[in-house]
Amino acid sequence: MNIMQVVAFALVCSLLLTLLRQSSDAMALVLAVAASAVILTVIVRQLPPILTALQGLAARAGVEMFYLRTLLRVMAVAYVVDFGAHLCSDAGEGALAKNVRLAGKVLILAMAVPIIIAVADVVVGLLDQVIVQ
Amino acid sequence: MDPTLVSLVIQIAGIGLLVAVLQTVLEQADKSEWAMAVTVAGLIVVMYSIVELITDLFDAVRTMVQF
Repeated sequence: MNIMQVVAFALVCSLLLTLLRQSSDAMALVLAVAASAVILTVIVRQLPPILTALQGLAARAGVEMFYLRTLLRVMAVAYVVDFGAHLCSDAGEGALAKNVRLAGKVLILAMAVPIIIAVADVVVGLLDQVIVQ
Repeated sequence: MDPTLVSLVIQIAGIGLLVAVLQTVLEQADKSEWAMAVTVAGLIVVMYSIVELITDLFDAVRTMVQF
């Protein structure tokens, strides 16, 4: 992937979008979705080496794989939700965009609950040790 | 960048421009129902390509998450 190619592609699509938006808002939304999806796909395909490096670092630091995987899932949800919500608001649907964001936040909270409970367990364990002493 | 993806997006833009031009021409000729029909037909044609693109994206994201 060449960053110049990505930027040039985005500029060409923006130009086409300004043309389309004058005549047909629906087709402009479709083109915006298509262009954003393509750019995101190109980016995501570059990620595997970075993720492998992160996994190696986490293993060396003694972090459990479960926590790293949950963190990556949360990041993936955040990016997908941002992608959808921004496209909705660009099409003029602010209410839909807000609801998509809310759905993303609730999903992230649901995924983070085990980690919160684990942190609470650690804190309570430390407090127990302190109180016993 | 993957040439198939880019050409797909350019195709979508082309169909979109064609539909927009047809819509304007038909509205000028006082046939606005035909204009609406042409817009809907163009949207359906383009939906196929969009669904393929979005499936590609979500597959890529899912392989990233499965790490």
